[in-house]
Order: sequence, then structure tokens, then C-alpha cells
Amino acid sequence: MEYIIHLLVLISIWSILGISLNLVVGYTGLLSITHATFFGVGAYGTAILMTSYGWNFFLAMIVGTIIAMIVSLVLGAILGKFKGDYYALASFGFNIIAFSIMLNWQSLTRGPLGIPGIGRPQIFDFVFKSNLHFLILSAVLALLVYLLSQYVVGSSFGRVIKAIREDEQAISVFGYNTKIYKMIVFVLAAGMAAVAGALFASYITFIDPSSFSLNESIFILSIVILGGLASNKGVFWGTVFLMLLPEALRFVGFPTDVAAQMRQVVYGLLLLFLMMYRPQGFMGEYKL
Amino acid sequence: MKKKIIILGVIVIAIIAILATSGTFNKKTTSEKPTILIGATLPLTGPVAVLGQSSQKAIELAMEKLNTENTKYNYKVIFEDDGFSPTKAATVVNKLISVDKVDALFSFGSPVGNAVSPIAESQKIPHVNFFASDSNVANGDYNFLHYTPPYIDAKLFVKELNKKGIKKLVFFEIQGNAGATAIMKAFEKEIEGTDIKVLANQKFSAGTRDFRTQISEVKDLHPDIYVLQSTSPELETVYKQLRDMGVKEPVTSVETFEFADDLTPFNGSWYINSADAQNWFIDSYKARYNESPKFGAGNAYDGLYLISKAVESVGDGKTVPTKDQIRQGLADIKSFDGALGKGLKFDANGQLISGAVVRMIQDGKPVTIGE
Repeated sequence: MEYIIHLLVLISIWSILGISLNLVVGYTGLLSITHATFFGVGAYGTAILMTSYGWNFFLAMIVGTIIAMIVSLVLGAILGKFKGDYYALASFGFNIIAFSIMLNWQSLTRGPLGIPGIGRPQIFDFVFKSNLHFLILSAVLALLVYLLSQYVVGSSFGRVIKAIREDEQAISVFGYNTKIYKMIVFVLAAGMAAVAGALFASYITFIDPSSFSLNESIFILSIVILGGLASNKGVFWGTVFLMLLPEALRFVGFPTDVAAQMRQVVYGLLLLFLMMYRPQGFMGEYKL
Repeated sequence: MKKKIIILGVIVIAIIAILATSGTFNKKTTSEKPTILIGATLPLTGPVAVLGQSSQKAIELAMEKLNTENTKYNYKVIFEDDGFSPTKAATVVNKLISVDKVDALFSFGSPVGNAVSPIAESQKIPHVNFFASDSNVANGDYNFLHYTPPYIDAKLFVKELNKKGIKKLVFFEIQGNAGATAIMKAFEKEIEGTDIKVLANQKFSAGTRDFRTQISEVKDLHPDIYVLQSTSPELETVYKQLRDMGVKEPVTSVETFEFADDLTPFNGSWYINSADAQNWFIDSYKARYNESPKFGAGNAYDGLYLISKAVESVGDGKTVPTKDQIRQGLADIKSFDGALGKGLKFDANGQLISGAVVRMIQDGKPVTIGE
């Protein structure tokens, strides 16, 4: 049961990451490959405030989220100068810079040694110590993120960002300042990713830069593409699928000495077939 | 749309059903002796797969040997891959505990160990880590660590530098390696107040192939020695480019030379390494797998024997001892003879202290020349 609960906690956290990135990639059409940066800033912000200054999780999470949003404001301003493939490449560069900072600012992040002993959330005397309690917390936050995202995309603001995705030039003709809209979406998504980072740091109780590398950004993007661009429900199912598939493969009886390698091959092949036969993802309404 | 959701729902329910019922596939077998089940989360894929795979082989060797001995229990190890990722390791450990119902855990390295330790502590399950240079991994009652602490490496390194009259050093250090960082921190602490100076520390990322610019920057400093703190293949590349650029000064390392597949280029170089695996272990590993054990394999081999020593001391041979009894058995080990040496002892934090040695590469092979 603990195993299932653990997987559900991870699904909640990665759903937040997927839904938030979907706002940027799926709804606004900006191919961002730097989402792990904000995931990492949220995680490190929360972890440092909790371990070095003894802050409460919720306060640390709020401050970590604000820091990530400020960072995203700066990155968003620079990324706003790029379009299409160049936007993707520039965001790719930012993830490398962020990873390098996490790795080398050792006086703050402890570099590759990581930060161990991060505490669990606490409200008054109640500590979210058991995984079931943590699951309830992470599921509630994931639901809030989902509802917020649904509200945003269903609002007039959401219609503008979708229009930016379809034809930015056309919508600017009508007087919309597309840069501001893109910036708001980017900052909002970064804040959501930081919440996921805070949950991740507190749940695993240890973070190091390897969890926020470029690979992680690509994995989150895979969730969005597989689940379906511009579909939050699709992203949720994409998360469920990508988190559970490698676990299910653990129970396939490959020979012990090659089992790990075989699982990776099968995992890769399954993703390949899925993309060949369902390029729009499970529930996608838009293709890159 | 509804059809798609139904199909997806069926897939997800099927996966969850497999996960929930799969414990039955791994139920403990009962022969004449009860079986102790141990779960090992190892990096069988990813950047340090070569070390993880060697550790797996060492544990399998220990398991084969142990199960032919006159023990009260059989020992079975379930191996899972974590790709050296703390997140994956947390998932693996949850699976091992709640699905496979293991009696003890093994993990490999600092990042993974730091993710596994709190789980082991909260689930009250004995956990032995090997290869972690971060002593935090051993924090708590249920966590134990079997690896040479960086401060022991650093002490011996400084002692050797003083003995040879070496005062000026230039480091080439790979980034993102917890072991290299821990050793560097311990070394910096050890040279405080001495006249040993680090003239430069040229850091580089994994995958770097051209070190010429960094070498040019430090070449004219003429250090007494270059310290190459890197894994392979960067280790061999930086060494080759140093020599290609006419650098004549000697090179050394702390715990890294043996990452190289071919040690011949380092002939004549001395270096510090964690404790020697005993010859009997190296010979039996070679006989079984037709290759040499990699770094940390001896510690992994010892891991299973540590668990067995604890279990045999607290178990009656009829029932499987509780996890708390196994933990107590581990904590009560006063002296341990294993692949890493005789008379090894746990410190107050639960770290089994094995020593460091001075080695030299001779004819492409490591030879221990001092302790």
C-alpha cells in the first residue's frame, strides 16, 4: 500500500509540473525546455529556508514560489525576444545555467552533495509525517493547480493566449500586448512548478542538482506531449502513464543481469510506438 | 473522447492491479531454512552503471557463498535499478518494502543513500549503504554505512604529500561528483594551517574532451604535482593532454585512478585509494566473472555478510528475526572481518570504518605501497 501511495504522491507532484508547463507549451505555444529550473528553484528555496533557517514548510514554500516567479520574470523578459525554435534553444540554455548554479554555488546548495534532512510540512502540532497525509496535501495542491489552470484557460485571458499560439501577429493587430500575456503565463507556470518543487523537497527529504537537470525538463515536456497539448486532463493521464509504466515493467520477469537495460529498451519502444500512432497525445487538441 | 478515457482508465487500472497483486510473485520461499530477503537499489543503468553492476555481481557472489555455508538462514537479494537517481531510489525502496516485504535494504552512493535513509528510518528497516562519501547517510538508528570516510583519505593524502615534500598542487576536478566534492572539502580542512597550497582548481563538467585551455592557464604555475579528481574517460583525456602539452610534473589522485580501464598511462604514479579489497575476494570475483572487481564491489560483498552476521547472531533459525532485531544485531557487531579487511569497527554514527592505502601503478597494475 505504501508503494501505491508513494506513486500517487509522485503523480500529484508531476501532474502539477505537467499542468503548469501545459499552460506555456500547450495553450500559449511557447516551447519551453527550462521548467526544471523553476522546479529546482522552488525545491532549493524551500529546502534552504527549512534546513538552514528552521522555517515552516508552508512559509518556505510561499517564499520559494515567489523567488521562482521573480527568476521567471527575468528569464521571461529575455526569452520574450525569441520566437519558435530560438525560444526553445534559449530556454534550453537557461536550464543548463540553472543546473550549473545549483551544482557550483556550494556555499548555498552544497553542490553535488545535496541537501539532506529536509523536514515534512507541519500545521500547528500536526505533521504530515505519513505518506498518506502527504498524499492528501499533494493531491489537494495538484487539484488547486488544475482548477486554477482550467479557470485561466477558460477565461478571456485564456482565449488570448490560445490566439497567441495560433497567430501572434494577428492578435497583436487587435491591440493586445502579447509580450505581457506571454510573460504572465510564464511566471504563473513557474510559480506552480515551484510549488511542485517544494512538495518534492519535503517529500523525498533530500535534493541534489541531478533532480533538476535538462533531462527533467525533457521528461516534463514528454508528459505534456504524450498526455496531449492544451488538455489538462490529458496531461494528468500522461503523468499517470509515464510514472506507472516503468514501475509496471519492474514486474516483467527479465533475466536479472539484463533486466534494468531491457526495461529501458521496452520503455523507449513503447513511447516510440505511442508517438507514431498517436502524435497528438492521449487527448491533445493541438500539435507542435 | 469517452472511449479514449475508458481505454486509458483500463490501462491504468491494469497497471495498478499488477502493482497491487505482484507481491505474490516474490513471496519468500520456504525450504528447510527460513529465507532472509534483502532489497538492493543499485545504479544498474546510468552514469555509474559500471560500478553498480560490479556491486550486484559482488553481492551475488556473497549470496552464492553464504548459501553454501552452515548458516541458520538462506539469503536472497532482490536487485532493482535506480539509475543513480534519488527520486527513483525512493520509489524502488517503497516497492521493496511494501511489495517484496524485504527484511533489510542496500543502497549505493551518497545521493541515493540520502534519499533512502529517511525512508529506512521511518519504516524501521535496517539499511546498509556502500560507496557514500557523505556520512549523513548513516544518520539514525536503522542506517549503516560501509565506506572509507573522506577525512581518512584526506589525512593519508596530506601525510604522503608532507613525506614527499610536495607543497604546491594544481587540481583538475570534475563537477557534479559527490565523492570528489567530499574529498576536496576534507582535503581543504586538512591542509588548514599547513604550508601546502592549492595553486589552482580547474573544474570541468562531465563530457569535457578538450582541456587545453585550462591546462594553458595553469601550466606556468609549475606545481609540484597535478591532482586529477575525475572519473573516466575525462581522467585519461586530461592526463594525455597534460603530457601532449609538455607538462612534465607528476600526477596523482585520491580514489580516481582506478576508474580508468587501462592504468598503463599512469605507470609510476602514486595515489591514495580506499582500503584494499583482500586478495581472496579479488581472486574469487575474478574466478567467478573473469574480470576484476570495480571500485566499491568489496564493500557490497561485505554488506551481505554484515546482514548475515547480524541475522545469525539474533535469529533462532526457525523464524525470521524482526527488523528491529536485525538492526540491533548490526549495531552489536564489535568487529567485522570482510573483503575490506579484518577487525573493522562501526563508529558511533554507524559507519564501518575501513582505511585508506597508498598505491602506485606498476606495469599497468595497482600495487599497494603504504597505509
